[in-house]
Amino acid sequence: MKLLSATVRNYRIHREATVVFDPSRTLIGGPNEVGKSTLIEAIHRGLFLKSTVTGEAQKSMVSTVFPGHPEVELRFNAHGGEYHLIKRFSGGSGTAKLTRSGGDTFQGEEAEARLRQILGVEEPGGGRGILDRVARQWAHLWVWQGMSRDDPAAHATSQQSELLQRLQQAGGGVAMQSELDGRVASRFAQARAEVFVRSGNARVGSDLDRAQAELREAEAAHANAAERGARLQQAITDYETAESTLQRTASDLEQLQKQRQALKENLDQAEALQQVVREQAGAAKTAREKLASLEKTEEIIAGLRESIAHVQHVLRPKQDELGQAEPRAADLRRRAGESDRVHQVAEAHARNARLRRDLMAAYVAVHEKRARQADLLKRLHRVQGLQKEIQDLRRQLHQLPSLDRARLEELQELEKELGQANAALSAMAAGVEVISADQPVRVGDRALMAGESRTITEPTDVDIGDAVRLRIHPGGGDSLGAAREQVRSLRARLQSALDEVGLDSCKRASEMVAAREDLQGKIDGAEAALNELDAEGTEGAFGSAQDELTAAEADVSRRLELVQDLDVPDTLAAVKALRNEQEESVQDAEAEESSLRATRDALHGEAAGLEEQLRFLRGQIAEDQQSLTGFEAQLRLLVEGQGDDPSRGKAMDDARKTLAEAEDELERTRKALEDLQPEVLASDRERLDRSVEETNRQQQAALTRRAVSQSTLRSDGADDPKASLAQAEARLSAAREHHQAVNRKAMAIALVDDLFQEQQQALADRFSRPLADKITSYLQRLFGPDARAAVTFEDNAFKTIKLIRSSQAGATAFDTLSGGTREQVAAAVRLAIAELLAAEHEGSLPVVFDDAFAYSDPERVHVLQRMLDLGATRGLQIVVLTCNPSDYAALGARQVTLSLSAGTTQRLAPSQAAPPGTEEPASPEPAPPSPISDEDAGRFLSVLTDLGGRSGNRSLRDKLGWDDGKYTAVKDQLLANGRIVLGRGRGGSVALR
Amino acid sequence: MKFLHTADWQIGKPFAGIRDDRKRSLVQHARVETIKRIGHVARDAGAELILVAGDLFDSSSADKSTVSAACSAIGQLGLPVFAIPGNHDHGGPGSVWEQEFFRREQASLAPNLIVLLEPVPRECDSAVLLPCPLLRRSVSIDPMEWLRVPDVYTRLSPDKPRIVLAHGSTQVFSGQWEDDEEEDAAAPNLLDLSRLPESEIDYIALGDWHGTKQVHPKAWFAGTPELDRFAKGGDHDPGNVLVVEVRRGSQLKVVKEGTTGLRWNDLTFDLADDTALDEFQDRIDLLLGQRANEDLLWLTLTGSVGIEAASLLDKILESVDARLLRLKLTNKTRIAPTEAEIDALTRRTSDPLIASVARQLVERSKAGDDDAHVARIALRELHAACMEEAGS
Repeated sequence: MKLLSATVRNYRIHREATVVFDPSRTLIGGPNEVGKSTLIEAIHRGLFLKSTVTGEAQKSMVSTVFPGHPEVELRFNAHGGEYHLIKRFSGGSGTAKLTRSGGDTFQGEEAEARLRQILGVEEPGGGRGILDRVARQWAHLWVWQGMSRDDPAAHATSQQSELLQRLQQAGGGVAMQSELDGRVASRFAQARAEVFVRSGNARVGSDLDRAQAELREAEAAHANAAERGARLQQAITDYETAESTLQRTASDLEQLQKQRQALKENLDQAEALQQVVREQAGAAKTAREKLASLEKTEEIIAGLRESIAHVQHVLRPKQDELGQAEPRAADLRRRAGESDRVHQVAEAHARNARLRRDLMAAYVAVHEKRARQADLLKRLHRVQGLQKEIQDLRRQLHQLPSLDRARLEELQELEKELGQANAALSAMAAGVEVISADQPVRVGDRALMAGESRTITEPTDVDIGDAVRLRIHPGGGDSLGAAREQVRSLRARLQSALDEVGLDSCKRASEMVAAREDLQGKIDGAEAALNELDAEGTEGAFGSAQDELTAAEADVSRRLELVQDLDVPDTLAAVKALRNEQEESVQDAEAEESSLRATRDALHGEAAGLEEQLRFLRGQIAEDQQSLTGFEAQLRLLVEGQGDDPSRGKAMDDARKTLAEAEDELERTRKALEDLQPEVLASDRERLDRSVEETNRQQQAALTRRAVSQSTLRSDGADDPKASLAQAEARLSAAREHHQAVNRKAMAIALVDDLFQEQQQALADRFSRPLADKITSYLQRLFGPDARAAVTFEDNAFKTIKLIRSSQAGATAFDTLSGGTREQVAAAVRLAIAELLAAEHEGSLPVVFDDAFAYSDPERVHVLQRMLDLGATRGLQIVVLTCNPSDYAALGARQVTLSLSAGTTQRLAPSQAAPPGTEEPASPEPAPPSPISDEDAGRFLSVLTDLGGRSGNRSLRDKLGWDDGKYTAVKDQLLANGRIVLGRGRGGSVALR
Repeated sequence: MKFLHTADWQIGKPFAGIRDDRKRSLVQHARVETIKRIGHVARDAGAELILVAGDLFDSSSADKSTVSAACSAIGQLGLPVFAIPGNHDHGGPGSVWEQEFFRREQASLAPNLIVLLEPVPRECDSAVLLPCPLLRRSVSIDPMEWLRVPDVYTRLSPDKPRIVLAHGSTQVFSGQWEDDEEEDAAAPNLLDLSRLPESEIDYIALGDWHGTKQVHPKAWFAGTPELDRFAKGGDHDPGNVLVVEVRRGSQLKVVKEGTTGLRWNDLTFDLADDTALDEFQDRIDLLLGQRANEDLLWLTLTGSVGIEAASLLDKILESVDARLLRLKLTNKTRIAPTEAEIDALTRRTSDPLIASVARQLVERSKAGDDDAHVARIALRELHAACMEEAGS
């Protein structure tokens, strides 16, 4: 397919613009905003957008500058003919007309369908997103501005089926996956995905998953049932074991009881023997004790006898000694008695002498006391005389007023003052003197007798008789009162003082004081004499002397009674002489008495010593005799109680014999007991007890086990465990079988899927190689001979395209290339794909590069023209839009320059303009549609019936061996006639009605 | 006197191999129904007693509904029924005979049922029974041992016939039963008939062997009255009861009467080629007629079938399975695609992928291992997919 020319009218900024394309290389230049991209978009929409498009899609094309509906007119070569296409985008009323030169003309929808068929694209539908979907048509050929760096693998994928077909051919007739291949393969892939998840495990909810779950459940249920069965079996075994244990233990117990009985008898016997041993031991002990008692008695008797002998032995010398000492003691006692008597006489003598001497001394004392007493009496008499004198004097003194000289002087002073006051008063006072009166006169309150006078010192009434009353007022005025008062006061004071001493006048007082002073002088003289005599001492001394005398006289009289026949001299001297004489007698008598007393004392001492000795001796003898008596009494008692020596001897022999017999018996019994081995019996009993206990325990355990197993076995009959197990086994086996079948089927599906994938991969590898080779050929023009392309084809899709720059370097993924390199590699891929696909389009397809190398540096742009040129050389129609046409100067392309000149028709002719007249070829009249022969229609229907009444267009067309046009024509006719209907599927399908 | 000798009723047999609950229940119930038929036979023959020589129940732990159903059926027999425990329903601890529920149901539903649990003579109106009950599944001593002692017979009634009831194998014969449900066969309980004082005994009623068989002048296996398994080979004769006429010290008269209800069929068929399918279908039709839910079939298939034929065979088997109470299938056929089928897959020039995959699968399916099996299935799946996709 090659574009010949394009004209756009009323399309946005273009009023009318026409471009005439070079068959191989066209360069459309022009400054920015001149409408290059708009133009190329208009051409694209003319090819792919339905003329009846409405809404935003339609409006986007409408020019805001020029009136009229947008129109695109195209001329192109395709399918061996030249076509003329005019589309008018006027919304719902839009028109399309396709004319084949020298052939049919199609209008409207038919024109559109025809066009799609020529271009090999699907109907893009309508509605929202229509422009996007349309833009994707031929996107591998149409490099929109700004999309030059997109991954071209996506375009490869979008064109996959065609590409694969071309590659298949390019690969030298490699078997191509058929449609059926694809369907069957995807059916298995889907079936596998329904069964398995990616990890290879069964998908939840799949048959396999259910079968696995069922198997697991069946296994668990079976294990459960088997376990229950085993438990019941175990219970039966337990029950039987318990039963046999019970039997065994019962017999064991019986056996053990017998042994125990025998043992018990032995034990009883041993116990009896032990009792006998105890008794016999008791008897032996009694015998032993009796013998010991007898022996003890013997011992005591022997001891007593020995003691008696001993006491008797020591007693004899003592008695001898006593016999000798007693006469000596009697002699001494006699001598002492005599000495006492002599001493008593001497003693009496001495006493007598002392009495005489003392009498004489008493006499001396009487004499001396008597003399002293007489002296003291004289003195006492004198004292008494003085005391009487003083007493008299004092009595006189006391009869006088108690007045001393000072007092007297006070009185005298007062009297003197009174005299003076009286004198003064008298001078002023009036005197009344009754000289005579026949009537009672009364002065004041006092009757005044005749002769009497009275001084009046104050106004005083004088009554004479009852009829006369006179009042006398003394002179002197107030002074009279004062004088009178002073006199009265002094007089009162004097009187008072005199009253105190009891005198009537001062003269008297003066006399009294003189008398007192005289008396006092006499008293003082007598007292002085008395003091000299020591009155009190004398009196006392006299009393004492009197008493002493009396005592001495009494002493004498007492002594006189004791002493007879003594003449007492009268005189003191004689008495004293006698006294001295008697004193000497006393001394002599006392000396003798003292000597005798010593003698006596010595004798008494000796006698006393001897007596003491005797007393001690007698005590000892008495003690010994007492012991002796005691021993003898005991001995006697013992002998009386225990018998005499012979009988005791016999008793002892008997006791010894009894003891020996008892011990013999005891020994025999013990031997018998030892023979029974009592300690072994005890351990035997322990052992048997233990055995019985153990056996009982086993029995008990067996009973418990039997009960437990019985209860396990006691079914409630709700189900039959054996039947349950059988069911579980059957279910398990069924589940296993089912699982195996399902699993095998799943594996079979997986196997088929694997094989399909392998085959597809193998095919893909073969398919992808020519593509890679093609790309490589373009890349080598850019990057040198070492550059290569690597294409990955997986899951029936081209996944990645990589650039390998040199044999040393690794592959670089498209994504990681630089912006410029991406543009270039993408262009290489597009050219390669276009070249491959061009085979379907008479070896040529237009490839449009709208400003596609914006990121490439000028040098690389220069180089890449080699690549573009290669594409053109290989038949592609290269159309490059650029604002810098000089960059592509080396391409050798036909250059068209676009410039905007509003309001005029632009003819964008190649620089080597075509000759006039050829530019606008007249649209040929549409040829009438060639009639469809009944034969063709019949064949179509027959083949379709053979294919099952349904087929893809391509398969059917292949089967018929028709070209596309014929096929389409016939198909369309039949569609129109309602014989067939359109179906779904890639490339479309048809089905019998 | 006349009595009826039977054994091995095995009421409550689970038939776990039957996966459909309803069908399993039908087969189980058939065994209870047989008791009624036994009753008819007994009445028709004028029997005075029914003796069950063991395995009245299939299990010594039969469940409640089984116990009730059996007691109810026995109660309706109208004759005294004497039974001994066999190896399946042996006595002993925890056994059904000791269960409270059984005793209750026996008392209320089947007072005519007397279970002889001890090896002691049991004298009834017209006979003396000498039971040899099994108290364990497997015993090491001859359960008949007690009958060897002469003293046993001294006190027995001299006029009444003496009938031994025992359950086990005699040494005289051995046979094979194929029972896919039988648990691992324990050592059989051996009965030594030769050591019995023959003159003291008039009849020995045996149980355990499921076919009717005389093993001694006076000893018979009654066999099971209702088949419970597929007989495999041999000359078995199951599905009967014995009507025995006996008098003390005189000749026996034993008459066999059929009682079975269900049909247990056995068919082996070789699918030599795909055309044999029609023949197979005919055979099945002949075997089952128009019946449904009355037959059990053990079908053994051999040979090989093509892919399409295999699908057809599956359909035939599907309907056979539906009509049978049980289809026990031993399918030894191989899916062997026909040359045409293989060619159709491998020589698809237009579909190179399918052809290539099919060729690899054919190659893999030639081995004998499990992978080959999988490959054959895969081939079948591929075939089916191609058919469906091409047809769409």
